[in-house]
Amino acid sequence: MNEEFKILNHIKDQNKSNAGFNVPDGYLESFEDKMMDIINAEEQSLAKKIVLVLKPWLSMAAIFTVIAIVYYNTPYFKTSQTVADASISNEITLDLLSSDFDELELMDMITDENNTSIFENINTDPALLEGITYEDIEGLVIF
Amino acid sequence: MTSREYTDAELVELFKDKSHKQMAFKILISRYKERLYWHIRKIVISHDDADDVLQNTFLKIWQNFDSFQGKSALYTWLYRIATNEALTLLKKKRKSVQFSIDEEDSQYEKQLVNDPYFDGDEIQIQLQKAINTLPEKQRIIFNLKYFEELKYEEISEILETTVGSLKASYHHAAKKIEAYLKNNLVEKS
Repeated sequence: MNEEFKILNHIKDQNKSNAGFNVPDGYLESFEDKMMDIINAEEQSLAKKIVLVLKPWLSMAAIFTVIAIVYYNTPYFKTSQTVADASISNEITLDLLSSDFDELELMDMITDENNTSIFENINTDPALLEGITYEDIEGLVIF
Repeated sequence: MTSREYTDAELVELFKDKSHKQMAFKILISRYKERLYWHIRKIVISHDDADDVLQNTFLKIWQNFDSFQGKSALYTWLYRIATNEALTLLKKKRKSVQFSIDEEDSQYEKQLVNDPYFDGDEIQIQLQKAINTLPEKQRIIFNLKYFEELKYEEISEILETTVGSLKASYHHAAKKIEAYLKNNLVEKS
């Protein structure tokens, strides 16, 4: 150091450690463990804070999920929806058949004994046949 | 492996790996706690305050370690955080208690003498009182150069100030302290 700083040089030469300051016994030795405990506690409280922030959103998501499950599983909603879907699908099938076969070919198909097994395997939704009598069906099949 | 086997750059890489994060940080604490403690202690003076600031410093380091880009040396980044934390505490304290300059001088001496963790002699007390008369930034520059014997280039990175301005500032501070000590030690003897 510069010669003009005689006193400062003298103090430095005395080589007193840490300018007269000291620490409680074992303070520095135990500091890592204390600090890691603080950090772990901080991490846990951060995780709790995140849960607290997300909680309302998670609750809302859970409510919507329950509503969706109830909607798709309750018979009231399911029956009307399924019947509507079944009618649409039958209409499409009949349209396709009528475009590929004429009436005589269809009648031959139905009356042919070899085709009985085909018609037995068709699962017809009973809801579709509601209100239709055997006479109606006979009329439809013969003419 | 012991902490001695990792370089600072390796510690930074190790910290990014989740499974080694805690271990890397523990090594970092053990490597820098003492240097940072004495740096902080000379700014805030009391042990309790230094302990609080050191804890806050390491907590900030833990929270922001991922953002350390390695543009400067790790220890200068750590010193910068420690310095900022220490100055934040001083600001808070100054807001809560306000003294006139004379009162502050005598309060400071009382605080030193009554501190159970200060056992300096008369010359050390006068030196601390002299340092306390300096403006905050000059005081930090003086401490880093005089006590911790850091190079001007290192201090420049910590305080983000040019080397030229640091040299001038240190010289000015040393001159003021020398004059203070000359007056006060002569008066007492």
